[in-house]
Amino acid sequence: MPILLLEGLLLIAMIAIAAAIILGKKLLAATVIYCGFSLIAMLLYTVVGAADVAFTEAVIGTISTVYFIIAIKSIKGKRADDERK
Amino acid sequence: MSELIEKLEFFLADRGIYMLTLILFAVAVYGMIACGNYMKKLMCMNMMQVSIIFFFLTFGQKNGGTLPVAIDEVLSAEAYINPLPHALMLTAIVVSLGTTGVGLALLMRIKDIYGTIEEDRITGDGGKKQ
Amino acid sequence: MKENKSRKKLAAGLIIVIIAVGTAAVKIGAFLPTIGDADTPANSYVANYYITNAVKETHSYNIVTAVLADYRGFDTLFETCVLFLSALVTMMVLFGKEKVPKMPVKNLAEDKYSAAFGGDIMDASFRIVVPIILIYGIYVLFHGEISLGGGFQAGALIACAYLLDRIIPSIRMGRGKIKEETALIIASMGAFFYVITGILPMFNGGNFLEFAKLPFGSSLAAESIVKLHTAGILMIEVGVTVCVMGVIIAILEVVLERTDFDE
Repeated sequence: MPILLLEGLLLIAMIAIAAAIILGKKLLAATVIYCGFSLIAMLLYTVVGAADVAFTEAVIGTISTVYFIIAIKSIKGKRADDERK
Repeated sequence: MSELIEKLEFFLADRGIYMLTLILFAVAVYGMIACGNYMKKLMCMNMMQVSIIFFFLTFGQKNGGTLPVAIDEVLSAEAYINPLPHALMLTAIVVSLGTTGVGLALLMRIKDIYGTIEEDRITGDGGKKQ
Repeated sequence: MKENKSRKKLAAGLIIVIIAVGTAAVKIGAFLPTIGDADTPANSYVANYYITNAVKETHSYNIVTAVLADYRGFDTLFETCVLFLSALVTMMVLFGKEKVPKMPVKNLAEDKYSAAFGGDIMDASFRIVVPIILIYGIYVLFHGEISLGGGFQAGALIACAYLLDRIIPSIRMGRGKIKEETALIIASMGAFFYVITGILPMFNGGNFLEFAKLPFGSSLAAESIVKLHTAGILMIEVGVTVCVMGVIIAILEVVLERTDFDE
């Protein structure tokens, strides 16, 4: 598959994931989808040819997701998994 | 079928990729304004960052170029893609991690003082402090 | 609710304006280059010089590392300082909040939290994964000049190994954790080492961050001067690694200490 078509497909997937994060109702689910967004971004950087940037994005995306989950637990307390919004 | 793919590819190379990047940026800006929860605003800020970094990286692409790592000897300058945007965007990604950390610390303090992190409840009824 | 609806309408209107103006500008204006073209202004002037002369002048086969650490080393110094500043500000913002005391347990079998968090599988498997990640991180640091890698990736990987070890055994087992003040001191040591690498050539008659005049060995033959560039890049990468590792661990500890995992 030519490279530009692959880039276009990955960009459309990223727009769909962004819409899913914005319109979702649960906060913990949005965080897990954010980790998926980071993965697709890493694939996009690899397809463009920036391998150093993709490596960095893979590691930093994981650590950023862990920060979000710990902050959610600190803010919500006991009901972190079943409270809406 | 193959000429449809060729037309699509020509459109993407000309203006299409820029339009898709702009749409992703616009969706993330909408999320930052319209989401009521402060955590989602932070996530949308990171998504804006990803779209801007990708836009920067498309300027370095070359037809038929390879990764900017010289294996045995350096070929001509046209055979490698441009390494300059990669070096600039590498530090931008790591700095965004620090920005996320600061934002989350501020969120924890907002939760202490106001008791909630929904924007409607903080600014809706006058922002009652606790 | 009224405010939320009006804000959403404002946001939707703003977005439509951005998309319309941007699409019109992109379609009508010819100022954006075609993707894949090799003659654009971005690919012409300085980048060609970097590609053709990086291996000769700096002895580093990874051109991105040569640009980041040698040609543009001054920018990387200030990016490292910005990282350290973000960790410092995080600590300052959360300084007044009380830490949540966690009662220590003797072993993992007694802790009800760890039993719920994955139990024996996580406990057995993270012990295999952590040393592999550590070795990979140090490998990536030292091979930053030959293949893909560098200081930023290596620092984040080593901090990832610490993160696994901190979260998976019980949060309450206080053994082997790094305090937040210690992590901040480690980060500042990394940035300080970077600045020392810049100041050392000044004792030998060179400028700030001029690697050709580092006072290591004699600089008689032309080959030695190129190897001094390698030494300079390695010292810079070690500084950046230590700083990034310290920053990630500091932010993690600051947030983790003030979280209550018991309720």
